[in-house]
Amino acid sequence: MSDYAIELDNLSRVFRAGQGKTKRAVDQLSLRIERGEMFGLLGPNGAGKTSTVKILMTVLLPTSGHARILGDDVVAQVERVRRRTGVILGGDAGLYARLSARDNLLLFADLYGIPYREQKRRIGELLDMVGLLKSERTRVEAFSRGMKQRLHIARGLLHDPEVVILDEPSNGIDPVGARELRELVRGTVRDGRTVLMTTHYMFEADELCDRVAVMRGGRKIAEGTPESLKKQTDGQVVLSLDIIGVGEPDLDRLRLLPGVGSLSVAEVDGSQRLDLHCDQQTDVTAAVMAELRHLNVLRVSKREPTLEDAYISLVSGGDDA
Amino acid sequence: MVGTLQRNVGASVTLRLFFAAGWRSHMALFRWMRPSAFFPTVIGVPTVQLIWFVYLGHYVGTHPVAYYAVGNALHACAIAGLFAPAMSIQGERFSGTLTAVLATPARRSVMFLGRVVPAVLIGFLTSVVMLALGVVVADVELPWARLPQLVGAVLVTTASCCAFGLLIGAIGLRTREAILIANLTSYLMLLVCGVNVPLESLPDWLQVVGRLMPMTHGIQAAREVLAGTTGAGGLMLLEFLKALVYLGIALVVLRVLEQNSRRHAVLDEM
Repeated sequence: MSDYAIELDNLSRVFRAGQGKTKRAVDQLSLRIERGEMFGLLGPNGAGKTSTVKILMTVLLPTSGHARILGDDVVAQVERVRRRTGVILGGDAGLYARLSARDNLLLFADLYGIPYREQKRRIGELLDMVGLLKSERTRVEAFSRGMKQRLHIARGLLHDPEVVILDEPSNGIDPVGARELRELVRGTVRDGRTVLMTTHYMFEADELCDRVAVMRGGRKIAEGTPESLKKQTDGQVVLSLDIIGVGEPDLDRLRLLPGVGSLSVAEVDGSQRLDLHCDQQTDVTAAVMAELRHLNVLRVSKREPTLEDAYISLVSGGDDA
Repeated sequence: MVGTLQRNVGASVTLRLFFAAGWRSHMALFRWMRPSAFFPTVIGVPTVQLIWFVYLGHYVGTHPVAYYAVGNALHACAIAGLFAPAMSIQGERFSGTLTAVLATPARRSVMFLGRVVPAVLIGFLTSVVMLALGVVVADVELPWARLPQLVGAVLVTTASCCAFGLLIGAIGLRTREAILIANLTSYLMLLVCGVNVPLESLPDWLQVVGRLMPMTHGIQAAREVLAGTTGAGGLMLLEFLKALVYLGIALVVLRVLEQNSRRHAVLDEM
């Protein structure tokens, strides 16, 4: 029996990209995930997270390398892997809109080969756990995003899998729904399962995961506990500005300032939130304000880096770890 | 403790995968299972088709109108019989469930054959209703003594049509055009399967195509039963054998293309 729940050895997946070109969606990825661990796979769009998840789900073959779940190879021992792995997809996909919540679960219970007597007990327990018992006869097409996501969780746990893979589970869910979802995921780990989760939301990974890996361009560029990743930003400080009208030429000038590392811009309530990851030893505030003097700066503050800052620093950096 | 849920591959689980999951999948994927869609689609379309050809046949005058009524009544099974299995993969893709379904350990042969059963039942019932309509509008005379043979002919025709539909559905693992192929097949059947035009009046090569298509021998068998002549049994057996061959090919194509789609990452392509 393998010591690890999930093992990836030099896993690669190459896609044809047309005109004779190829794209390495996953590139020599190696990971070891312990049993009972909650592991986060982070990265921007196109980093290779979903391709990795699909290989583990056994719906995509790797081009080279190996992936094993509980010691079973995802290519050679497909049926064993499928029986022991639960897959929880994000968004609307993966559920039958015309069926009720209960009928969705009954259908998947038959696909997973769960005997009927077990089905009734298990479905009742799971609907209760995800808070959908009262809506069990309602068609899924009438469900909110959050309800669908909770049903996804029930579906993924239906056959009592030892390993659960969550692909961006909180995508498009409101903050209350996302909090409930995180509680359900936490409960899944408490039950003794191993969870691999991909997410865009750093606070979610920080809150839930024992360890995370960051991917960029198909490669793993960092791995460790959220705390250890945050430590990569030791000696840095984040200068945060709420600003109106900042453009690419302004950002280019800011990037050239001594002491400024990476930067990120996000739209927040009609203005832009500009975060500059700066060297703690160099106070760049005056220089930054001078570069932006032609713009309306609403607020300036300094703060300690979060996991999100560490992530941005990693994925926007040029060198692979 | 996790991972201890009882799972088995016994007969009851296989039967549930075949019947219960097959029926539920049909309910999940096809809007026509709602009465508001069932009557216009499954009954309405073949009704108009049957009446249209009966009156066209009456105008042309080459055959008794019952000829057209019987041919179109049996062709009516194609609405559910051909299109439902043909859409069993593409429908999953449209509803975003294909990846989740193919990530389960369910035996594909049992799962997809189970999806054919509701199509056979609905297709069979449609043809029975259309034969009754034929009695009303085209004076089709039902031989009560030979009713079991007629039921057999309708059933075997529907089964053959569904098996061919499953083959189209299997091709749907690699193409988005399953519904187009099913439409083309349905129209081709009108021409080459003896629905409205006797096979013998077609060019030789089209006769060959017709004999290879589902339905041809089943329709011929139904006409033999109605005419009280012999030979219906052999024709039904031939149609049944064709159904088995289509099913066999469909399951092989499903297996090959599922493996292929894992290799080429085309499962989710819309």
